[in-house]
Amino acid sequence: MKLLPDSKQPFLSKTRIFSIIIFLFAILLPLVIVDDYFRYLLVITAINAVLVIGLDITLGYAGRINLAQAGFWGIGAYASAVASLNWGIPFWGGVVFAMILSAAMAFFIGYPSLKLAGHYFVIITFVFGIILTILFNNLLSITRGPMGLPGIPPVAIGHYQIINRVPYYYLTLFFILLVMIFKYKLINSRLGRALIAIREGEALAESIGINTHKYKIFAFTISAAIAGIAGALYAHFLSYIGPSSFTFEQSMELFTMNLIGGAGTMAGPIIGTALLTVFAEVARNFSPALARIAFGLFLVLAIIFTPKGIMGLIEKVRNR
Amino acid sequence: MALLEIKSISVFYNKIKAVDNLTLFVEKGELVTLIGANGAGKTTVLRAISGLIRPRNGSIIFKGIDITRMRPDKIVQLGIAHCPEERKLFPRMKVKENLMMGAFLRKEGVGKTLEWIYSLFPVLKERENQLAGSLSGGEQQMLAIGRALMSQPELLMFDEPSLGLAPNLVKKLASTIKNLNQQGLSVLLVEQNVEIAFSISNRGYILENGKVVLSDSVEELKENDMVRKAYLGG
Repeated sequence: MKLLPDSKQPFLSKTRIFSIIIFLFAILLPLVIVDDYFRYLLVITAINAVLVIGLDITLGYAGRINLAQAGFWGIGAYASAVASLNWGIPFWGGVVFAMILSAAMAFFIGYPSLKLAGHYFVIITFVFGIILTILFNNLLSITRGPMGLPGIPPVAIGHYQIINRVPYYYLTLFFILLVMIFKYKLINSRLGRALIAIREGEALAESIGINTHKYKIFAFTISAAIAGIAGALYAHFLSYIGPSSFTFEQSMELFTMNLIGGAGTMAGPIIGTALLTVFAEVARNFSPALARIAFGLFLVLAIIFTPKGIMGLIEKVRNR
Repeated sequence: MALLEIKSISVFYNKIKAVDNLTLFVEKGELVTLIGANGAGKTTVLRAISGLIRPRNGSIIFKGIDITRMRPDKIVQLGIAHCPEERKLFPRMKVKENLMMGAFLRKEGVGKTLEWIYSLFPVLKERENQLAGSLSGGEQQMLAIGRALMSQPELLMFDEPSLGLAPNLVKKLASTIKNLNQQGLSVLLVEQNVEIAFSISNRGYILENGKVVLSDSVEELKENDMVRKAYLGG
Protein backbone atom coordinates (compact mmCIF):
# COMPACT_ATOMS: atom_id res chain seq x y z
CA MET A 1 0.00 0.00 0.00
CA LYS A 2 1.20 3.47 -0.78
CA LEU A 3 -0.02 6.26 1.43
CA LEU A 4 2.21 9.10 0.49
CA PRO A 5 3.01 9.74 -3.15
CA ASP A 6 6.60 9.07 -4.22
CA SER A 7 8.57 12.21 -4.62
CA LYS A 8 10.68 10.89 -7.47
CA GLN A 9 8.64 9.77 -10.42
CA PRO A 10 9.75 9.49 -14.01
CA PHE A 11 8.02 11.93 -16.33
CA LEU A 12 6.18 9.16 -18.14
CA SER A 13 5.51 6.82 -15.24
CA LYS A 14 3.11 3.91 -15.56
CA THR A 15 0.38 5.73 -13.64
CA ARG A 16 0.78 8.81 -15.76
CA ILE A 17 0.50 6.86 -19.02
CA PHE A 18 -2.50 5.04 -17.53
CA SER A 19 -4.21 8.33 -16.69
CA ILE A 20 -3.58 9.71 -20.16
CA ILE A 21 -5.11 6.58 -21.72
CA ILE A 22 -8.16 6.82 -19.45
CA PHE A 23 -8.55 10.45 -20.35
CA LEU A 24 -8.31 9.77 -24.10
CA PHE A 25 -10.90 7.06 -23.61
CA ALA A 26 -13.17 9.57 -21.89
CA ILE A 27 -12.72 12.00 -24.77
CA LEU A 28 -13.62 9.35 -27.34
CA LEU A 29 -16.65 8.01 -25.45
CA PRO A 30 -19.28 10.22 -27.15
CA LEU A 31 -18.21 8.78 -30.51
CA VAL A 32 -19.33 5.36 -29.32
CA ILE A 33 -22.34 6.49 -27.36
CA VAL A 34 -24.70 7.93 -29.92
CA ASP A 35 -28.02 7.46 -28.16
CA ASP A 36 -29.29 10.77 -26.88
CA TYR A 37 -30.39 9.45 -23.52
CA PHE A 38 -27.04 7.79 -22.88
CA ARG A 39 -25.29 11.02 -23.81
CA TYR A 40 -27.41 12.75 -21.20
CA LEU A 41 -26.33 10.08 -18.74
CA LEU A 42 -22.73 10.66 -19.73
CA VAL A 43 -22.94 14.31 -18.72
CA ILE A 44 -24.65 13.44 -15.42
CA THR A 45 -21.93 10.88 -14.71
CA ALA A 46 -19.26 13.47 -15.39
CA ILE A 47 -20.95 15.97 -13.06
CA ASN A 48 -21.21 13.29 -10.37
CA ALA A 49 -17.52 12.58 -10.87
CA VAL A 50 -16.71 16.21 -10.05
CA LEU A 51 -18.77 15.84 -6.87
CA VAL A 52 -17.10 12.61 -5.80
CA ILE A 53 -13.58 13.85 -6.56
CA GLY A 54 -14.38 16.75 -4.28
CA LEU A 55 -15.92 14.56 -1.61
CA ASP A 56 -12.84 12.33 -1.63
CA ILE A 57 -10.69 15.15 -0.25
CA THR A 58 -12.71 15.08 2.97
CA LEU A 59 -13.54 11.37 3.00
CA GLY A 60 -10.48 9.76 1.49
CA TYR A 61 -7.79 12.12 2.71
CA ALA A 62 -8.91 13.84 5.89
CA GLY A 63 -10.77 10.63 6.76
CA ARG A 64 -13.99 12.38 7.72
CA ILE A 65 -17.38 11.13 6.58
CA ASN A 66 -19.24 14.03 5.03
CA LEU A 67 -22.93 13.50 4.30
CA ALA A 68 -23.65 17.01 3.08
CA GLN A 69 -21.96 16.93 -0.32
CA ALA A 70 -25.28 16.97 -2.20
CA GLY A 71 -26.34 19.93 -0.08
CA PHE A 72 -23.25 21.90 -1.10
CA TRP A 73 -23.94 20.83 -4.66
CA GLY A 74 -27.41 22.36 -4.27
CA ILE A 75 -26.00 25.58 -2.86
CA GLY A 76 -23.76 25.81 -5.91
CA ALA A 77 -26.60 25.05 -8.31
CA TYR A 78 -28.94 27.63 -6.78
CA ALA A 79 -26.15 30.19 -6.50
CA SER A 80 -25.24 30.07 -10.17
CA ALA A 81 -28.89 29.79 -11.23
CA VAL A 82 -29.88 32.87 -9.23
CA ALA A 83 -26.80 34.71 -10.45
CA SER A 84 -27.72 34.14 -14.08
CA LEU A 85 -31.51 34.50 -13.75
CA ASN A 86 -31.67 37.51 -11.44
CA TRP A 87 -28.44 39.34 -12.07
CA GLY A 88 -27.60 38.25 -15.62
CA ILE A 89 -24.20 36.93 -14.58
CA PRO A 90 -22.87 34.43 -17.17
CA PHE A 91 -21.93 30.85 -16.27
CA TRP A 92 -18.24 31.63 -15.73
CA GLY A 93 -19.04 34.17 -13.07
CA GLY A 94 -21.71 31.86 -11.70
CA VAL A 95 -19.21 29.05 -11.17
CA VAL A 96 -17.00 31.32 -9.11
CA PHE A 97 -19.97 32.59 -7.13
CA ALA A 98 -21.16 29.00 -6.56
CA MET A 99 -17.72 27.93 -5.32
CA ILE A 100 -17.43 30.87 -2.96
CA LEU A 101 -20.90 30.39 -1.51
CA SER A 102 -20.53 26.62 -1.01
CA ALA A 103 -17.08 27.05 0.48
CA ALA A 104 -18.29 29.81 2.81
CA MET A 105 -21.13 27.63 4.08
CA ALA A 106 -18.71 24.72 4.62
CA PHE A 107 -16.36 26.97 6.56
CA PHE A 108 -19.24 28.22 8.66
CA ILE A 109 -20.42 24.68 9.46
CA GLY A 110 -16.97 23.11 9.63
CA TYR A 111 -15.34 25.59 11.97
CA PRO A 112 -17.33 24.60 15.06
CA SER A 113 -18.19 21.01 14.11
CA LEU A 114 -14.70 19.87 13.14
CA LYS A 115 -13.59 20.51 16.71
CA LEU A 116 -15.78 17.59 17.72
CA ALA A 117 -14.98 13.90 17.45
CA GLY A 118 -15.52 12.21 14.07
CA HIS A 119 -18.96 10.72 14.67
CA TYR A 120 -20.40 14.05 15.82
CA PHE A 121 -19.16 15.61 12.61
CA VAL A 122 -20.96 12.93 10.58
CA ILE A 123 -24.20 13.69 12.40
CA ILE A 124 -23.80 17.42 11.86
CA THR A 125 -23.20 17.05 8.13
CA PHE A 126 -26.18 14.68 7.96
CA VAL A 127 -28.46 17.17 9.70
CA PHE A 128 -27.06 20.11 7.74
CA GLY A 129 -27.79 18.29 4.47
CA ILE A 130 -31.39 17.78 5.54
CA ILE A 131 -31.74 21.40 6.68
CA LEU A 132 -30.52 22.51 3.26
CA THR A 133 -33.16 20.40 1.52
CA ILE A 134 -35.78 22.01 3.73
CA LEU A 135 -34.43 25.45 2.88
CA PHE A 136 -34.41 24.73 -0.85
CA ASN A 137 -38.06 23.75 -0.49
CA ASN A 138 -39.10 26.72 1.59
CA LEU A 139 -37.01 29.77 0.71
CA LEU A 140 -39.64 30.60 -1.88
CA SER A 141 -38.32 34.05 -2.74
CA ILE A 142 -34.97 32.59 -3.83
CA THR A 143 -35.60 28.99 -4.85
CA ARG A 144 -39.32 29.09 -5.69
CA GLY A 145 -39.59 25.98 -3.53
CA PRO A 146 -40.78 22.76 -5.14
CA MET A 147 -41.58 24.61 -8.37
CA GLY A 148 -37.87 25.03 -8.91
CA LEU A 149 -36.04 27.49 -11.11
CA PRO A 150 -36.65 27.05 -14.84
CA GLY A 151 -35.07 28.85 -17.76
CA ILE A 152 -31.47 28.91 -16.63
CA PRO A 153 -29.53 30.10 -19.69
CA PRO A 154 -26.99 27.78 -21.32
CA VAL A 155 -23.23 28.17 -20.97
CA ALA A 156 -21.76 30.50 -23.55
CA ILE A 157 -18.20 30.76 -24.78
CA GLY A 158 -18.12 34.02 -26.69
CA HIS A 159 -21.08 33.83 -29.07
CA TYR A 160 -21.13 30.04 -29.03
CA GLN A 161 -23.76 28.52 -26.76
CA ILE A 162 -23.23 25.04 -25.43
CA ILE A 163 -26.63 23.49 -25.91
CA ASN A 164 -25.84 20.03 -27.19
CA ARG A 165 -24.87 17.23 -24.90
CA VAL A 166 -21.56 16.26 -26.43
CA PRO A 167 -19.95 19.71 -26.11
CA TYR A 168 -21.41 20.00 -22.61
CA TYR A 169 -19.78 16.68 -21.79
CA TYR A 170 -16.44 18.11 -22.95
CA LEU A 171 -17.00 21.21 -20.85
CA THR A 172 -17.55 18.98 -17.80
CA LEU A 173 -14.54 16.88 -18.72
CA PHE A 174 -12.49 20.06 -18.79
CA PHE A 175 -13.60 20.78 -15.22
CA ILE A 176 -12.83 17.19 -14.18
CA LEU A 177 -9.34 17.65 -15.55
CA LEU A 178 -8.90 20.92 -13.63
CA VAL A 179 -10.18 19.42 -10.40
CA MET A 180 -8.01 16.30 -10.82
CA ILE A 181 -4.88 18.37 -11.40
CA PHE A 182 -5.75 20.52 -8.41
CA LYS A 183 -6.33 17.45 -6.24
CA TYR A 184 -3.09 15.85 -7.38
CA LYS A 185 -1.12 18.99 -6.50
CA LEU A 186 -2.93 19.25 -3.20
CA ILE A 187 -2.17 15.68 -2.14
CA ASN A 188 1.48 16.09 -3.00
CA SER A 189 1.75 19.27 -0.97
CA ARG A 190 2.33 19.82 2.72
CA LEU A 191 -1.41 20.16 3.13
CA GLY A 192 -1.93 16.71 1.61
CA ARG A 193 0.61 15.14 3.94
CA ALA A 194 -1.11 16.77 6.89
CA LEU A 195 -4.47 15.37 5.79
CA ILE A 196 -3.09 11.86 5.39
CA ALA A 197 -1.50 12.10 8.84
CA ILE A 198 -4.85 13.15 10.30
CA ARG A 199 -6.57 10.20 8.65
CA GLU A 200 -3.92 7.80 9.89
CA GLY A 201 -3.95 9.02 13.48
CA GLU A 202 -5.43 12.31 14.52
CA ALA A 203 -4.12 12.37 18.10
CA LEU A 204 -0.61 11.65 16.90
CA ALA A 205 -0.88 14.21 14.10
CA GLU A 206 -1.89 16.77 16.71
CA SER A 207 0.98 15.86 19.01
CA ILE A 208 3.63 16.16 16.29
CA GLY A 209 2.51 19.69 15.61
CA ILE A 210 -0.11 19.49 12.88
CA ASN A 211 -2.94 21.95 13.44
CA THR A 212 -5.55 19.30 12.71
CA HIS A 213 -8.53 21.60 13.11
CA LYS A 214 -7.22 24.00 10.48
CA TYR A 215 -6.42 21.29 7.95
CA LYS A 216 -9.75 19.54 8.40
CA ILE A 217 -11.56 22.82 7.74
CA PHE A 218 -9.41 23.26 4.64
CA ALA A 219 -10.37 19.83 3.33
CA PHE A 220 -14.06 20.28 4.05
CA THR A 221 -14.14 23.74 2.48
CA ILE A 222 -12.33 22.56 -0.64
CA SER A 223 -14.74 19.63 -0.99
CA ALA A 224 -17.64 22.05 -0.82
CA ALA A 225 -16.09 24.47 -3.30
CA ILE A 226 -15.72 21.62 -5.79
CA ALA A 227 -19.35 20.66 -5.13
CA GLY A 228 -20.16 24.26 -6.01
CA ILE A 229 -18.54 23.81 -9.44
CA ALA A 230 -20.63 20.68 -9.99
CA GLY A 231 -23.72 22.64 -8.95
CA ALA A 232 -23.16 25.33 -11.54
CA LEU A 233 -22.48 22.70 -14.21
CA TYR A 234 -25.68 20.89 -13.29
CA ALA A 235 -27.89 23.99 -13.27
CA HIS A 236 -26.71 25.22 -16.66
CA PHE A 237 -26.92 21.76 -18.17
CA LEU A 238 -30.52 21.00 -17.24
CA SER A 239 -31.62 24.67 -17.39
CA TYR A 240 -34.00 23.74 -14.58
CA ILE A 241 -33.24 22.90 -10.96
CA GLY A 242 -35.53 21.81 -8.15
CA PRO A 243 -34.98 20.74 -4.55
CA SER A 244 -35.53 17.04 -5.25
CA SER A 245 -32.03 16.66 -6.72
CA PHE A 246 -30.03 17.78 -3.70
CA THR A 247 -31.18 15.37 -1.04
CA PHE A 248 -29.59 13.33 1.69
CA GLU A 249 -30.12 10.22 -0.46
CA GLN A 250 -27.95 11.82 -3.12
CA SER A 251 -25.22 12.50 -0.54
CA MET A 252 -25.41 8.87 0.46
CA GLU A 253 -25.04 7.77 -3.18
CA LEU A 254 -21.99 9.98 -3.64
CA PHE A 255 -20.51 8.52 -0.47
CA THR A 256 -21.11 5.00 -1.79
CA MET A 257 -19.56 5.85 -5.16
CA ASN A 258 -16.47 7.17 -3.41
CA LEU A 259 -16.08 4.13 -1.16
CA ILE A 260 -16.72 1.58 -3.88
CA GLY A 261 -14.35 3.25 -6.33
CA GLY A 262 -11.73 3.67 -3.64
CA ALA A 263 -11.43 6.49 -1.13
CA GLY A 264 -8.12 8.29 -0.97
CA THR A 265 -7.09 7.49 -4.54
CA MET A 266 -6.97 9.50 -7.75
CA ALA A 267 -8.85 7.11 -10.04
CA GLY A 268 -11.22 5.62 -7.45
CA PRO A 269 -13.83 8.40 -7.45
CA ILE A 270 -14.09 8.28 -11.24
CA ILE A 271 -14.39 4.50 -11.41
CA GLY A 272 -16.96 4.41 -8.61
CA THR A 273 -19.01 7.20 -10.12
CA ALA A 274 -19.01 5.71 -13.61
CA LEU A 275 -20.09 2.27 -12.44
CA LEU A 276 -22.71 3.35 -9.96
CA THR A 277 -24.30 6.22 -11.88
CA VAL A 278 -24.95 3.93 -14.81
CA PHE A 279 -26.07 1.14 -12.52
CA ALA A 280 -28.41 3.45 -10.58
CA GLU A 281 -29.99 4.74 -13.76
CA VAL A 282 -30.59 1.27 -15.16
CA ALA A 283 -31.85 -0.09 -11.84
CA ARG A 284 -34.15 2.88 -11.30
CA ASN A 285 -35.93 2.23 -14.58
CA PHE A 286 -36.44 -1.26 -13.30
CA SER A 287 -37.49 -0.37 -9.75
CA PRO A 288 -36.42 2.69 -7.73
CA ALA A 289 -36.78 0.90 -4.40
CA LEU A 290 -34.65 -1.98 -5.58
CA ALA A 291 -31.99 0.44 -6.78
CA ARG A 292 -31.69 1.88 -3.31
CA ILE A 293 -31.49 -1.53 -1.69
CA ALA A 294 -28.77 -2.51 -4.16
CA PHE A 295 -26.79 0.62 -3.27
CA GLY A 296 -26.96 -0.25 0.41
CA LEU A 297 -25.91 -3.80 -0.35
CA PHE A 298 -22.93 -2.65 -2.43
CA LEU A 299 -21.87 -0.35 0.37
CA VAL A 300 -21.93 -3.12 2.96
CA LEU A 301 -20.17 -5.59 0.67
CA ALA A 302 -17.48 -3.06 -0.17
CA ILE A 303 -16.83 -2.26 3.48
CA ILE A 304 -16.56 -5.94 4.36
CA PHE A 305 -14.56 -7.24 1.42
CA THR A 306 -12.61 -4.34 0.05
CA PRO A 307 -12.44 -1.32 2.33
CA LYS A 308 -10.22 0.42 -0.20
CA GLY A 309 -12.77 -0.12 -2.97
CA ILE A 310 -12.06 -1.18 -6.52
CA MET A 311 -8.74 0.64 -6.48
CA GLY A 312 -7.79 -1.45 -3.46
CA LEU A 313 -8.58 -4.62 -5.42
CA ILE A 314 -6.52 -3.43 -8.37
CA GLU A 315 -3.61 -2.71 -6.07
CA LYS A 316 -3.88 -6.16 -4.49
CA VAL A 317 -3.76 -7.85 -7.87
CA ARG A 318 -0.82 -5.69 -8.94
CA ASN A 319 1.19 -6.43 -5.83
CA ARG A 320 0.71 -10.14 -6.15
CA MET B 1 15.17 30.51 35.07
CA ALA B 2 14.32 26.92 34.39
CA LEU B 3 13.70 25.70 30.84
CA LEU B 4 10.25 24.43 31.76
CA GLU B 5 8.29 25.66 34.74
CA ILE B 6 4.91 24.32 35.72
CA LYS B 7 3.25 26.43 38.38
CA SER B 8 0.43 24.78 40.32
CA ILE B 9 -1.63 23.43 37.43
CA SER B 10 -4.83 21.46 37.86
CA VAL B 11 -6.23 19.41 35.01
CA PHE B 12 -9.71 17.94 34.86
CA TYR B 13 -11.37 15.33 32.68
CA ASN B 14 -14.90 16.65 32.96
CA LYS B 15 -15.40 16.59 36.73
CA ILE B 16 -12.58 14.24 37.58
CA LYS B 17 -9.42 15.92 38.76
CA ALA B 18 -6.45 14.17 37.13
CA VAL B 19 -3.73 16.62 38.14
CA ASP B 20 -4.02 18.56 41.37
CA ASN B 21 -2.08 21.76 41.98
CA LEU B 22 1.11 20.36 40.49
CA THR B 23 4.36 22.28 40.40
CA LEU B 24 7.42 21.05 38.57
CA PHE B 25 10.44 22.35 36.71
CA VAL B 26 13.08 21.08 34.31
CA GLU B 27 16.40 22.89 34.03
CA LYS B 28 18.21 23.10 30.73
CA GLY B 29 20.21 19.91 30.17
CA GLU B 30 18.49 18.00 32.94
CA LEU B 31 16.95 14.55 32.80
CA VAL B 32 13.94 14.59 35.08
CA THR B 33 11.70 11.65 35.76
CA LEU B 34 8.07 11.52 36.79
CA ILE B 35 7.22 8.40 38.78
CA GLY B 36 3.84 7.15 39.87
CA ALA B 37 1.35 4.33 39.72
CA ASN B 38 -1.23 3.90 36.98
CA GLY B 39 -3.70 6.77 37.11
CA ALA B 40 -1.43 9.04 39.10
CA GLY B 41 -1.69 11.67 36.38
CA LYS B 42 1.70 11.37 34.69
CA THR B 43 0.41 11.13 31.15
CA THR B 44 -1.97 14.03 31.81
CA VAL B 45 0.94 16.24 32.85
CA LEU B 46 2.68 15.53 29.53
CA ARG B 47 -0.53 16.13 27.59
CA ALA B 48 -0.98 19.44 29.35
CA ILE B 49 2.55 20.53 28.51
CA SER B 50 1.97 19.58 24.84
CA GLY B 51 -1.24 21.58 24.74
CA LEU B 52 -3.35 18.48 24.04
CA ILE B 53 -5.42 19.21 27.14
CA ARG B 54 -5.86 22.55 28.86
CA PRO B 55 -5.22 22.98 32.57
CA ARG B 56 -8.08 24.62 34.42
CA ASN B 57 -5.71 26.79 36.40
CA GLY B 58 -2.03 27.38 36.93
CA SER B 59 0.53 28.11 34.24
CA ILE B 60 3.14 26.39 32.12
CA ILE B 61 6.18 28.45 31.15
CA PHE B 62 8.69 27.26 28.55
CA LYS B 63 11.80 29.34 27.82
CA GLY B 64 10.07 32.22 29.61
CA ILE B 65 7.01 32.04 27.35
CA ASP B 66 3.59 31.20 28.74
CA ILE B 67 2.41 28.17 26.77
CA THR B 68 -0.54 27.26 29.02
CA ARG B 69 -3.13 28.06 26.39
CA MET B 70 -1.03 27.72 23.28
CA ARG B 71 -1.99 25.44 20.38
CA PRO B 72 -0.09 22.12 20.17
CA ASP B 73 1.58 23.02 16.87
CA LYS B 74 2.91 26.28 18.31
CA ILE B 75 4.29 24.38 21.28
CA VAL B 76 6.09 21.91 19.00
CA GLN B 77 7.49 24.87 17.11
CA LEU B 78 8.83 26.37 20.34
CA GLY B 79 10.85 23.19 20.93
CA ILE B 80 8.90 20.61 22.89
CA ALA B 81 8.49 17.12 21.43
CA HIS B 82 6.26 14.44 22.84
CA CYS B 83 6.79 10.72 22.46
CA PRO B 84 3.37 9.37 23.47
CA GLU B 85 2.69 6.04 25.07
CA GLU B 86 0.11 4.65 22.69
CA ARG B 87 -0.36 5.09 18.96
CA LYS B 88 3.00 6.69 18.63
CA LEU B 89 3.49 5.89 14.94
CA PHE B 90 1.60 5.97 11.68
CA PRO B 91 1.66 2.19 11.18
CA ARG B 92 0.61 2.30 7.52
CA MET B 93 3.29 4.80 6.57
CA LYS B 94 6.87 3.88 5.80
CA VAL B 95 9.63 4.39 8.34
CA LYS B 96 11.05 7.34 6.46
CA GLU B 97 7.60 8.90 6.01
CA ASN B 98 7.04 8.68 9.74
CA LEU B 99 10.31 10.47 10.34
CA MET B 100 9.48 13.16 7.79
CA MET B 101 6.13 13.71 9.49
CA GLY B 102 8.05 14.59 12.63
CA ALA B 103 9.62 17.47 10.74
CA PHE B 104 6.26 18.74 9.50
CA LEU B 105 6.74 22.24 10.88
CA ARG B 106 10.34 22.64 9.73
CA LYS B 107 11.41 24.11 6.46
CA GLU B 108 15.19 23.82 6.46
CA GLY B 109 17.86 21.36 7.44
CA VAL B 110 15.49 18.41 7.54
CA GLY B 111 17.84 16.18 5.53
CA LYS B 112 20.66 16.81 7.99
CA THR B 113 18.51 15.87 10.98
CA LEU B 114 17.40 12.74 9.15
CA GLU B 115 21.00 11.71 8.62
CA TRP B 116 21.76 12.32 12.26
CA ILE B 117 18.84 10.13 13.28
CA TYR B 118 19.95 7.39 10.89
CA SER B 119 23.39 7.54 12.50
CA LEU B 120 21.79 7.20 15.95
CA PHE B 121 19.59 4.32 14.84
CA PRO B 122 21.17 2.61 11.82
CA VAL B 123 18.38 0.03 11.78
CA LEU B 124 15.93 2.77 10.75
CA LYS B 125 18.04 3.52 7.70
CA GLU B 126 18.02 -0.17 6.80
CA ARG B 127 14.26 -0.26 7.06
CA GLU B 128 13.40 3.18 5.76
CA ASN B 129 11.06 1.78 3.09
CA GLN B 130 9.32 -0.69 5.36
CA LEU B 131 5.93 0.04 6.91
CA ALA B 132 6.25 1.28 10.46
CA GLY B 133 3.64 -1.24 11.60
CA SER B 134 5.88 -4.10 10.48
CA LEU B 135 8.74 -3.17 12.82
CA SER B 136 9.45 -4.97 16.09
CA GLY B 137 8.55 -3.33 19.39
CA GLY B 138 12.06 -2.06 20.02
CA GLU B 139 12.40 -0.70 16.51
CA GLN B 140 9.05 1.03 16.79
CA GLN B 141 10.23 2.73 19.96
CA MET B 142 13.39 3.88 18.20
CA LEU B 143 11.30 5.19 15.33
CA ALA B 144 9.06 7.07 17.75
CA ILE B 145 12.12 8.68 19.35
CA GLY B 146 13.58 9.47 15.95
CA ARG B 147 10.30 11.02 14.86
CA ALA B 148 10.18 13.17 17.98
CA LEU B 149 13.77 14.28 17.38
CA MET B 150 12.95 15.33 13.82
CA SER B 151 11.28 18.47 15.16
CA GLN B 152 14.64 19.46 16.71
CA PRO B 153 13.28 19.81 20.23
CA GLU B 154 15.00 21.33 23.21
CA LEU B 155 12.82 19.35 25.56
CA LEU B 156 11.84 15.78 24.76
CA MET B 157 9.09 14.14 26.76
CA PHE B 158 8.79 10.35 26.92
CA ASP B 159 5.67 8.58 28.10
CA GLU B 160 6.53 5.07 29.32
CA PRO B 161 9.08 4.29 26.63
CA SER B 162 9.99 0.95 28.23
CA LEU B 163 6.44 -0.38 28.09
CA GLY B 164 6.25 -3.75 26.37
CA LEU B 165 9.96 -4.03 25.65
CA ALA B 166 12.20 -6.98 26.52
CA PRO B 167 14.56 -6.28 29.47
CA ASN B 168 17.70 -6.08 27.35
CA LEU B 169 15.97 -3.60 25.03
CA VAL B 170 14.90 -1.51 28.02
CA LYS B 171 18.53 -1.12 29.02
CA LYS B 172 19.53 -0.18 25.51
CA LEU B 173 16.71 2.34 25.35
CA ALA B 174 17.76 3.86 28.67
CA SER B 175 21.30 4.34 27.47
CA THR B 176 20.01 5.92 24.27
CA ILE B 177 17.94 8.41 26.28
CA LYS B 178 20.91 9.15 28.55
CA ASN B 179 23.10 9.60 25.50
CA LEU B 180 20.71 12.14 23.97
CA ASN B 181 20.58 13.95 27.29
CA GLN B 182 24.36 14.14 27.43
CA GLN B 183 24.34 15.69 23.98
CA GLY B 184 22.41 18.58 25.50
CA LEU B 185 18.78 17.56 25.13
CA SER B 186 16.60 18.18 28.17
CA VAL B 187 14.37 15.24 28.96
CA LEU B 188 11.18 14.73 30.95
CA LEU B 189 10.69 11.02 31.40
CA VAL B 190 7.50 9.36 32.59
CA GLU B 191 8.15 5.79 33.70
CA GLN B 192 6.71 2.94 35.68
CA ASN B 193 9.99 1.10 35.57
CA VAL B 194 11.43 3.08 38.46
CA GLU B 195 14.78 1.36 38.64
CA ILE B 196 15.61 2.09 35.04
CA ALA B 197 14.33 5.66 35.34
CA PHE B 198 16.44 6.32 38.42
CA SER B 199 19.50 4.82 36.77
CA ILE B 200 19.64 7.62 34.20
CA SER B 201 17.84 10.63 35.76
CA ASN B 202 19.13 13.62 37.72
CA ARG B 203 15.98 14.39 39.62
CA GLY B 204 12.61 12.80 40.17
CA TYR B 205 9.05 13.65 41.15
CA ILE B 206 6.77 11.14 42.80
CA LEU B 207 3.11 11.53 41.83
CA GLU B 208 0.15 10.15 43.71
CA ASN B 209 -3.45 10.93 42.81
CA GLY B 210 -2.40 13.85 40.68
CA LYS B 211 -0.25 15.44 43.39
CA VAL B 212 3.49 15.65 43.80
CA VAL B 213 4.17 13.91 47.09
CA LEU B 214 7.92 14.00 46.90
CA SER B 215 10.63 15.54 44.77
CA ASP B 216 14.36 15.33 45.14
CA SER B 217 17.55 14.28 43.46
CA VAL B 218 17.57 10.65 42.41
CA GLU B 219 20.26 9.81 44.98
CA GLU B 220 18.06 11.09 47.80
CA LEU B 221 14.94 9.43 46.44
CA LYS B 222 16.70 6.08 46.30
CA GLU B 223 17.38 6.36 50.02
CA ASN B 224 13.88 7.43 50.92
CA ASP B 225 11.97 4.76 52.88
CA MET B 226 8.61 5.50 51.30
CA VAL B 227 10.04 5.34 47.79
CA ARG B 228 11.93 2.14 48.54
CA LYS B 229 8.82 0.46 49.89
CA ALA B 230 6.39 1.61 47.23
CA TYR B 231 8.50 1.66 44.09
CA LEU B 232 11.76 -0.22 44.53
CA GLY B 233 10.42 -3.39 46.14
CA GLY B 234 11.81 -2.91 49.63
